[in-house]
Amino acid sequence: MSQIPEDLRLRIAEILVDRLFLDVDPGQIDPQESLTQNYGVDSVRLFDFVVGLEEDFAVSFEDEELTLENFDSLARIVARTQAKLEAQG
Amino acid sequence: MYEPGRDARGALCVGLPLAEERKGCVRVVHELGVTLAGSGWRTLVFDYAGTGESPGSFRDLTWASLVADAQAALAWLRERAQGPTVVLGIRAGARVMLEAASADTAQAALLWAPVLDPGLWLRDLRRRSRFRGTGAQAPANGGWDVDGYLFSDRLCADLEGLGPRTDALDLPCALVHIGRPSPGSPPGCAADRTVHLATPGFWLETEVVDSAPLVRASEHLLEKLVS
Repeated sequence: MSQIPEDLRLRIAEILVDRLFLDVDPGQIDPQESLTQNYGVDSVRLFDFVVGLEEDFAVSFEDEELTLENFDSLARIVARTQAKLEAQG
Repeated sequence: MYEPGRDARGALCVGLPLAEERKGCVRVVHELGVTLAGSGWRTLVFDYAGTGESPGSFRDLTWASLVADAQAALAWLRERAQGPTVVLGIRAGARVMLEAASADTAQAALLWAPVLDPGLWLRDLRRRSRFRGTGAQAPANGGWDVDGYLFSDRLCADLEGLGPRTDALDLPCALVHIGRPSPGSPPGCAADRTVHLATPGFWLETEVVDSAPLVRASEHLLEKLVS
């Protein structure tokens, strides 16, 4: 996988803050930290965010990919989205 | 039933969400009913057979039974209504109420975060269950267990077969989008009768939400619909 563009990371962080109503600056989100454990996000809202991400970036995550573990940090979300975008060419 | 303390100026028939989404809306709908009663609205909140306090089993639901229940509720309310009757459809309940209402039974529709494509909604329910780890397992006797609600094969086929609602509505319509921007609106919902609330979807919440913005927006839109 190629290096993730910073603008993609920041854009996703901004969407994350906006859609999950997080009281944090998007640039300050630690990409490795658990969203559910460190940012108080529950799994239902996180899933809703992931569905919104599919619409925003016109990608589709396979059912097998859709686990809490795979989307529980900014880094993981960005990596999976980037992979989908690259696969689309 | 929420009764105004004086002559009613209108009647509202509420079609609730389905399955897990119903839980999060009970309190919000209660606050709406109380508020509207204060401004002269008679509000009926009913449970489809097999849901809430109505007899029956969720596994027996079909699209036809949902619509029939909504039509019965509307007819019951119409017999007792003064003034115009408006249907309020919430999430999947919006599609039910739009199917159930006609120009003979209702004068307008108010929709909260409507599910316009029930098949897509069902797909996301299953995916959400998998995501949360509760899993959407198919019981041995058929159907899908989604968060403890058994969607029969029949109901799944009904929902998947409906497709997105794309035809123009028979009724004047007002719309409240909630949460992330919605990809579409029902045809016929004018921009001046559409409100977007950038708040979490109450149907997803397990904690008490501030329903005041939604109740205020709904009161305002009802006035527009019946004026």
